[in-house]
Amino acid sequence: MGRRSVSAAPTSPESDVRRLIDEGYAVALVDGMLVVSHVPYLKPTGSVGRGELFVPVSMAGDRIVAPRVHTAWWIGDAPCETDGTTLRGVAVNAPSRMMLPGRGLARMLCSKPDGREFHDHHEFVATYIALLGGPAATIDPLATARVRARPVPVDLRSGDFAYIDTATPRAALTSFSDRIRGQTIGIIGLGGTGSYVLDLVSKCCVHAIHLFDADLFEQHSAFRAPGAATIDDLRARRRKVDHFASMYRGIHRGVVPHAVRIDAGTAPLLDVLDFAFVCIDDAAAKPPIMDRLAARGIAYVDVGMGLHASERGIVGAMRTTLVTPDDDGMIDRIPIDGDPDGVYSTNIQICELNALNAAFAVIAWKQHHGFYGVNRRVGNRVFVLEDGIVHNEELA
Amino acid sequence: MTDDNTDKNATDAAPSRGTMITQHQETPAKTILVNGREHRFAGEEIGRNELARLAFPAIETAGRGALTVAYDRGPLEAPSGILSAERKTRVLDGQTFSVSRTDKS
Repeated sequence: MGRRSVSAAPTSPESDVRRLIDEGYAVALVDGMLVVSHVPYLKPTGSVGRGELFVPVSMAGDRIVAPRVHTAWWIGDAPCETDGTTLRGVAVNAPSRMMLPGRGLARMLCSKPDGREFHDHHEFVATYIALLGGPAATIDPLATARVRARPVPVDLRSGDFAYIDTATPRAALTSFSDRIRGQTIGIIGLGGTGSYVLDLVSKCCVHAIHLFDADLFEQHSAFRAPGAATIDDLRARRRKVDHFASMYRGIHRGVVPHAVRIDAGTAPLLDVLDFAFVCIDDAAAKPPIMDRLAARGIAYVDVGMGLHASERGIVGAMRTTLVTPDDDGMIDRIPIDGDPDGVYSTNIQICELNALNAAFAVIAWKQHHGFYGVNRRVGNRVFVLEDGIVHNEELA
Repeated sequence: MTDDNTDKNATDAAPSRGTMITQHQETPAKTILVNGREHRFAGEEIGRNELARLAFPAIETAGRGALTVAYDRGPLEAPSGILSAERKTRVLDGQTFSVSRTDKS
């Protein structure tokens, strides 16, 4: 392997071609030639035309190497200067060679940098296009060979997003994002808090986001969910996981819906996760989830809020509890007993508090992975609404 | 209020009950807020189970991990924090408490 990679090292084989595509050239690889179409040039008549440029690709075995020749081929009229004279800087020959069946004869073009060959095929192509197009640009400044002015998103760059994340590099956060990159995340329960967790995680460079919930997306759900569900969304009577998967695949391609309730039987679905957000109301349903995550060494955040109506207004607390394979010291902060008599039950939930609790949960996940710095290792965090205070219980 | 049934599996309520009864005569009642509601409290210290009974009169004990209990405007040595199962707080007039089963999502 060493010998081969050394001998073929000078250029990255696909990068020249990839760069041409990314820059918007209409380029294809045909029979060992790079064929660039829609190349502007000035015709002898003085009008701007479009021709096709053929550049031979120098190969070593199956690898593209630095160009060994500098002649190219051209299908089109003889390119001219603005004064009608023959194009300068390029020797243009008479049509002589059939490049593509039924397309007429091609002219050989000859130009090379002073004292050397082209460094790579990108320089080869770009130089010819600049020479051919120079006179045309003085007639039509908008004439360009980069006809795909907005390059199509390329998988290599957009990764798991549906389009390229331009926010992260803009703020120079890439090195921090690397700490959560590629993770497989699970959101168990898509109520108010779980749906806001999805809203936030969908903008992160994770590999996949698995959604687990068996409930329907109903009218009341719309008032505790991010975004603005339409009346058609409600009429569709879809499962929550399907509603949210279709919405959030608009930005993240790795959203995977599972219309199941997680219990001891379905808990193995969690095994693929790197991290889980447990956002379910039914405390009695948590033990099989927590047991499975613990058994597989998967860290998670459990969220929950308890709100009460008082004569002073609504009061209450929002809790986020982090449990990791290394430290489950706060696990007993998570309610796991049912409330069959409903003695605690208020079921007040308000979407800004769902959003806040979700934000705390996502922050806990990102702190756990070092995206956010920490001065204390918080295992249990409680925000008391009426006091405006965040209480932290630290891990040992 | 009778304490017979409430104390039997309440780990932190039993000693405070005793304290509360002995100090009842000498400690003037304080006003505390529990979930936004005023209560008169005559004891010196308070723990989770008593707070649970103030917040949810229908229950007997806070149970394991069922409740999130936090306070503010408390005594100087620990003016605010979370009351875990093993903790109590000395009670000041005007102290505020939040007692919730944080299980809604």
